[in-house]
Amino acid sequence: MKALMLKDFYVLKKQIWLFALVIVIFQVFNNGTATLISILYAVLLPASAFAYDDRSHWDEMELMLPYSTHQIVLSRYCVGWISMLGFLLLGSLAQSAVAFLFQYFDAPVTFFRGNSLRALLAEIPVAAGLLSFSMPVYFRFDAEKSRAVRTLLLLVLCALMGGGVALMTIRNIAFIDQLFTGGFEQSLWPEYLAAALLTAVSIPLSAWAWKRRHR
Amino acid sequence: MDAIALNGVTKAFRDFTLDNVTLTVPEGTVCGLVGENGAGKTTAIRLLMGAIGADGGEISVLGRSPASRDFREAKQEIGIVLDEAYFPEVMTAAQVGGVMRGTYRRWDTARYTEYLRRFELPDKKPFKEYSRGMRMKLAISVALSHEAKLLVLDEATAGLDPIVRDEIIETFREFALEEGHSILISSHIVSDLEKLCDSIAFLHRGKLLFHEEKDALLDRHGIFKGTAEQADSLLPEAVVGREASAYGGVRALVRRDAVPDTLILERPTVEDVILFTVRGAKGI
Repeated sequence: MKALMLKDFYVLKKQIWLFALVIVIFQVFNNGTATLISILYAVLLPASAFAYDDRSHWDEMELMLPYSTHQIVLSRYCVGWISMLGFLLLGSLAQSAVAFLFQYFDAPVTFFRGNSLRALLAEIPVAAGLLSFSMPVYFRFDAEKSRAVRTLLLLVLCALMGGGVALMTIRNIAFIDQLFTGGFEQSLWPEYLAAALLTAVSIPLSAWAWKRRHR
Repeated sequence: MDAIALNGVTKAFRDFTLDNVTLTVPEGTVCGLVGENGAGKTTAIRLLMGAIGADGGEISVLGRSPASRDFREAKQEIGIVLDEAYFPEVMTAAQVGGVMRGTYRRWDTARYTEYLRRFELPDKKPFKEYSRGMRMKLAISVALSHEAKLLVLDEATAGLDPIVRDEIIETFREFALEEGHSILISSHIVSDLEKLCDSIAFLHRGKLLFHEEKDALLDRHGIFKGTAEQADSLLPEAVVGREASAYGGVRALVRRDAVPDTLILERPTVEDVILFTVRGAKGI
């Protein structure tokens, strides 16, 4: 599995460096949202790896090499998770560094502000959930098709979520407020639980999708 | 032990069926799998590498079934070269080596470096800047650097110039000389196979028309050249296939045991046997 991850990081190396630079620069102009953007970008990184694989027909080769389906599938999830956490850390460091330089905080500088840390912790399961949501699509279809299917599914998901939020607003349910501002134990654990459950479903689904694509 | 054994293997697709193929490649031998484009060579290779599952029949490679969970162990001992070197094009040879070091337990970095040097492959240059010949040499370097016992080569020499092809065939020959090493090479460049193989298997439209030791195959057949009347006088079962040659003559592949000893026959090439067999199958 390490070999496959190494392959992906070699392939994505240029993109990772470029985006790391973008994150740092972005912090200067838009302090606060770069961590969210960076982890969302990290979710898209496996899509780039799939596109490279498609172009080189690596999957043809992969099938002939001594890798198990689980290694192939899990390695991609790991690449997504590692990128996500890496960019998150980089985004946070950049955020703190910029904040420090611009004397953003009134209080003595800490690594995370209370609010930022909470927002950050709320972003992780969202990104992990998006990754789990997208992966079976990447494994099932080629790069072009998966991009279209993923966009379609995201639109449907966004519409459903938008509908849900609207409903909660009408009924005055303070779920969204709670999600980003409330205590961790009050509101974030369902988010983490949902992301974990989605991941637990997504991995075998991806393995199935991959087998089906290559049968 | 057989390095490869296919017994009654069938795989059906919407528009093509590999039909009841039985083929064995004994350990220490080189088998050439010949056939036109779309004959089923790649399907057979994908089946025996476990990349797709068979609909029927049994497959064994280095004593293991591709359908079994432990087939990955067998793959550790198989060097594979496909018709293209399917490595991501932004990677360098050095990076490919790094990935393969984590893939094969018996990866030999020194040997890999030696092959890169021998084939004059730059190890820091991105793969996309390689010529086709260089790409194939890289794929071969990988296949030969993890102490494989079996090489499976799918059109590994296709599209290469004769000099590079010769160099590559020589490398395969060196591999085959080592004890217990076997090769299955598919190609439609029959002259390459003639240089390298102990036996020839001929697939045509998904069916295995023959699999025979190369020398026996060539000894059993002869090329008849004569007039149409002379050709017509031969027993129908003696003639594998025939074609009109220049100046109204006929050229035919015949079975030596079915024609009179007095008939003067030329020794055919493997290509002759294959072309005339196809003509015979088509009734041309």
